[in-house]
Amino acid sequence: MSAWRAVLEVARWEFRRYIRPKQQAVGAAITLAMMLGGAGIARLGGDGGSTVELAVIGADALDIPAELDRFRFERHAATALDGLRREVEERERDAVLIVRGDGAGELVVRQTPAWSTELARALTVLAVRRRLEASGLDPGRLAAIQAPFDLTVHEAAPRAGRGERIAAFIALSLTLMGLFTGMGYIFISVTGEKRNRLSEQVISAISPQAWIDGKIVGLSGVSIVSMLNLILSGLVFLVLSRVIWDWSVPLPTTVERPDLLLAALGFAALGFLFWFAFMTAVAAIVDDPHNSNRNQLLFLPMAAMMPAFMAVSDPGATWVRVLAVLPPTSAGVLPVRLLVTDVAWWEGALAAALLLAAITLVRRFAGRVFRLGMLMYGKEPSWAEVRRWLREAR
Amino acid sequence: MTSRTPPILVLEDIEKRFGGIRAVDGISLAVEPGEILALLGPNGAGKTTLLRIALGMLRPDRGRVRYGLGGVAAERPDPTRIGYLPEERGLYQDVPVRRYLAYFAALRGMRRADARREADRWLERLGLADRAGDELRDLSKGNQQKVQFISSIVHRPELAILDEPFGGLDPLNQDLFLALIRELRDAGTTVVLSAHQMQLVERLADRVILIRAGRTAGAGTVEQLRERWGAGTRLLLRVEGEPDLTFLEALTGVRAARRTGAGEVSLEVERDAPLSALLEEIGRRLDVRDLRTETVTLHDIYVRTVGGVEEPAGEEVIA
Repeated sequence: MSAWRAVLEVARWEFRRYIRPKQQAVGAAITLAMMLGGAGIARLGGDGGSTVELAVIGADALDIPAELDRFRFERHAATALDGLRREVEERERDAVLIVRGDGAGELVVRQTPAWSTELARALTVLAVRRRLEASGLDPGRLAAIQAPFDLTVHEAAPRAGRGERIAAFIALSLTLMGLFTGMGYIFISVTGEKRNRLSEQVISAISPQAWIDGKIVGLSGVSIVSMLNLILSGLVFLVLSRVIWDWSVPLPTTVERPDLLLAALGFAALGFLFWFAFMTAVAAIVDDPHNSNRNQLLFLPMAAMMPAFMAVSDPGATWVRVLAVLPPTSAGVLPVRLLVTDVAWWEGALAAALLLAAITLVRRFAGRVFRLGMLMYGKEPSWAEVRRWLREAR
Repeated sequence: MTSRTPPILVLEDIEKRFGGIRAVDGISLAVEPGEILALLGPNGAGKTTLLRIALGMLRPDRGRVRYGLGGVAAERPDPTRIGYLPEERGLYQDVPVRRYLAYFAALRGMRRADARREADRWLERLGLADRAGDELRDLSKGNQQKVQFISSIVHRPELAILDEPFGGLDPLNQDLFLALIRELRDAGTTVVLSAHQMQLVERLADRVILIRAGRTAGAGTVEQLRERWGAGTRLLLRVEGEPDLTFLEALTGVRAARRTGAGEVSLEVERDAPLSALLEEIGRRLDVRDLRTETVTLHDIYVRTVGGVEEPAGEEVIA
């Protein structure tokens, strides 16, 4: 049997073992429910920057307009105060503002809201304007006093737009989630096969390298499906939140560059290959996953991904550019740079070449460790033994 | 002129070390097509290591392995023509029986449709057809053992290597597996197995190789081994009082005498010993209450060949 066919058989087997449509559907529904629930709670608990509607009594004292910043004011007579207070108490209204002259006022709410400081600042602006007008200055002088300072900003290293940064964070989070999902499955799969004494049956039929490769392909598929499931839940959440709460999320300009998106995705996929090969080797030298201190090696990929999160805010820094080229950090940092800034073609090409070389190397080493590690039952090989396996070609 | 079919597997002067331990020390053997060859030896004697070398899972430090699978001489094994039942065997517990079998058949190169068909045939043969869709964890231990066995031969191998196929089986399943292995041989599969169940091996094997501390301690058919050891009949005597072993061992034709219980003695008698004269001599000296005869078994030969040898402390590394 050809190595390719063996790889595909194993990949298909691993994929079918862990991807079960019913479980995926339930998982997606739970994720969506959690997103909606979380957003609902956030909306109840905080203002979220959305419009705030207030009933106002004594609006003339400050000449309060119907709309100011994100506040909307609904004027009422003083006689309505008791009724309005009741409405606040009974949750029928968020707040009532009572203006007492141009220097003081009261805000009737159930609990102090996050926007109260913002409201106070907006009212202060109105009060200052009112006092200046009352001082008798001529309109030209008044306008000169109130003229804002015109500050023009020239950025040497412009920060990416909010949309780009959000996209980069989402992409990184998804990559990290996919990475850990896949590594988790690899760990469970490999240590489970060792504990269930299945290694010999498989290794007598196909080469350890084909087994590793099949696992990596199949479990990458599992990770990708899990990520797609999450993305799908996220998209449904966005649509529903728009319908329910009229939310909108700024789209990154990268959306118009599918080539960049594909390149970023490709790099993330190469990162998966690198870390999954690494993880198969680690799992093969773990005897009891519950008691092995080698589980700590699971954190290595996380450490390598951390710079990518930091790179979002400063994608042009020298250290970011270096880490975007060198494996294994390039798997996380380069996609970020692609999404938030311009990347020279040679940087991408160099990073891809180095990452592919690293994958070839780690896959080869993983194959050696895996072949012998999978046949070792009952104890974990020492690091010295692992080093010997790595030195000795079969 | 007659043309002889070449051996299906040849191991020449194989040596394998694990650190300072020599697990296999210069073993040579040739497996003829269609035979059942049994490797016997105590735990740690090197049987499993030898089988893994035969499978190509381990590379010997010295020696050579050759294959004649499909009538083609080769230096590397063709996994599609070999079946393997390891000593340490397990199952994917969360997978349905048929899918499990089809997977292993596919790994051995069988087309998926053929694999499913062959899996169904074996499940039918072993009375598990109605459990084909059940997950393996839902099967009894005996049925799981049957599935493990099927998974090693479902692809119709030319050579089946079975490491301890009777291990952990109850007597009924031992007989079933014995029948299955014979069936395999009758269908043209060559079988190499290791086992500790001497009475089963005696009934099953065409040839036996006794291994002690990584070396061949004896080889041949059971009958040849008996002859080689000069083992003939065993006399089991129950006598009044305690028998005099020195007297018994001095009798003509007696190879060995040992006390087996209070007033009981076992005599190993040479194949061509004058039995009637021997019994007459014994009767004159001892008050014999009971007498039985037994042929010397493979078990006896095994114990005498490999018994008393301290097992080497094998490294836990299977590789």
